Amino acid sequence: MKLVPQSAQPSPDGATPILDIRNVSLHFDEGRAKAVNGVDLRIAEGEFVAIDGPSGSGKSSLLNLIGALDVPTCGEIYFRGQPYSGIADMALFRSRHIGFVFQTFNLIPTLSALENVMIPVLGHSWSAARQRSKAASLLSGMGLADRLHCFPATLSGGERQRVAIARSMINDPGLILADEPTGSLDSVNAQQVLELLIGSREERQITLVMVTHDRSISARADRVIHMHDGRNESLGEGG
Amino acid sequence: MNLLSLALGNLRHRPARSSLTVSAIALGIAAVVALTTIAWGFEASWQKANDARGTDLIVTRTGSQNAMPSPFVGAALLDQLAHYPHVQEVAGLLSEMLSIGEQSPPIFVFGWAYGSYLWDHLKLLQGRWPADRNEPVAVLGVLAAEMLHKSIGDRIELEGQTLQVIGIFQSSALVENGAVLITLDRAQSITDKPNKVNVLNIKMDKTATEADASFVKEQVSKTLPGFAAITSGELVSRNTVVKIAKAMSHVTILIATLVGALVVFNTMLMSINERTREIGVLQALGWPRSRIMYMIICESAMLALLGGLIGIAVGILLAIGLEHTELMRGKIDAIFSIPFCLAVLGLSVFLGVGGGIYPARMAARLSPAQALRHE
Ligand SMILES: Nc1ncnc2c1ncn2[C@@H]1O[C@H](COP(=O)(O)OP(=O)(O)OP(=O)(O)O)[C@@H](O)[C@H]1O
Ligand SMILES: [Mg+2]
Repeated sequence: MKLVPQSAQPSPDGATPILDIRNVSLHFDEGRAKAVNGVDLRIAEGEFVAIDGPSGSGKSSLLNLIGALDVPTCGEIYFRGQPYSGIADMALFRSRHIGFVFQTFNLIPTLSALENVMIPVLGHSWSAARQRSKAASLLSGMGLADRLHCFPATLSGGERQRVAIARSMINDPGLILADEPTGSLDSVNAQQVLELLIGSREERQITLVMVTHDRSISARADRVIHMHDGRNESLGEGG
Repeated sequence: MNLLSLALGNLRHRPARSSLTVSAIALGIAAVVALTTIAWGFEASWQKANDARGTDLIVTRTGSQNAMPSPFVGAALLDQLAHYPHVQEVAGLLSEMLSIGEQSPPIFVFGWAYGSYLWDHLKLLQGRWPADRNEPVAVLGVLAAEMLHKSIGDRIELEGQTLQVIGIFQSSALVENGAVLITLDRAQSITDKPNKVNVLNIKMDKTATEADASFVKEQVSKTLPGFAAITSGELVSRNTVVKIAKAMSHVTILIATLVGALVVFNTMLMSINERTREIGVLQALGWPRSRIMYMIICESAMLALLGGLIGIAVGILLAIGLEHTELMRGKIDAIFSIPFCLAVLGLSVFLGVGGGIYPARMAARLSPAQALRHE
């Protein structure tokens, strides 16, 4: 028998997908809770994928696995062909390739907007000046040029999420994972945040995987994945 | 922005808790500083006095070298010691702690052999020295004169004898400034110990070496059973009171360190518990575990460092205050040295880091996914 090292399969067009998720499961409580149960999914470089599904269907759990925040019970995920199980330093991997946007913003309350955006690159070899100027220009791009030194408590929900989006991009990630990024916002702010997120990811050609319940948002995605009981069913093209 | 400013921000975000923790550490450190400077000051004061006098060796009874030296008849011994090579002079000394008058606190009364080298280092500020070995007079150290409210021509009462104050002197040693000085013969008569001394002081001549001093030590232990010749440093450090004071300061250091570390431990544990989600966010944003650990340890070290700085300041004030209480005045010269303060600061940081390590490890070990789910 020939032992062939498992590796990512090229997608039909021949390019290596940014994410190749192979039969991945995440079980809790010794298998009693199957948050993710055998997901197979390939996501192409630059794609915008929306994930929807009922509460408890495993959307956040799947995002955690993709973001290397959790280790799958079984299965393997490949990032540009590289298996997660072979990555020695997950923190370093995240800090190089992944940006996160959370539903509840998760800004650090003791830091200003500018400093919050700088967090992911704090340990990088960048000079302090480079960290600052990059953070400031990202915030300006989010329409927050006059808010750089405000603390999260003094910002509106929409402004906070814009800070969080700037933060998710400072390390020039290939992939942004957003878990209901508009879930805590009113429709006006939700719309604005969404435009900024989609706009900047197009500009930078970042792959975006977004969990959302909002059909008008999933309609803008290249593809919608429907999660149900820890499994995915692709609904094909959005819109 | 760096890790230090981040840690500082976290501490300032919870001002009440941070200041309580700092206060607790400061109290412990203050106790350490006050007790230690006094314990060591006690030793140093006596060392200083012996150094100022120019005493190289002290002959005392073997059995009482650890406590207050008990008196013995000195004359025969003195002759023998004086004949050892390089011994320039041997002087008898009888000292007591006595109360002068009803209300005043006890004070050192030194009886020094009349005309001996012991008197040489003193500077007479007013009046004169005793005219002979039996004149019923006393000279006072500047501090003693101030504490007793006595000046030249006044009388003081010592164990029923009345002595006239005829001079006021100054010494480079605090304990002498705070003492009443009389001749040895007067002291023997007042304390009813004719011909007796507590110790014999030996001054070696200028050409004497360490070896010559060791030779005297050996000779004393060989030929004078029951007596020992030791250096002033040995005399002081063997003193039971000094030993007790030092032991107390060691225990205080131990307790303050443990309490400080526990307080830091508790504070950081609480803080991490509250910030579980925040730590998950930092992990998601690519912070390695080591940096999270470092941030928590920075926070605890900062708390302890601030507590240490405040504690040192308070401790020094406390020691100075104690030095000036009626009971202690003129007896203890608390020493504050930069190395000592740095060592105490080092101790504070040590307890801070010690108390912070476990919480920091806990924070670093959190699973990012679990931490992010934390409410
Ligand atoms: N750490 C855990 N321990 C036990 N069960 C868990 C854990 N994490 C998730 N689960 C379970 O896994 C299932 C999927 O959770 P997940 O948070 O992924 O759902 P979701 O699709 O994001 O739901 P929602 O839309 O409400 O956010 C749920 O039943 C949840 O209770
Ligand atoms: Mg969810």
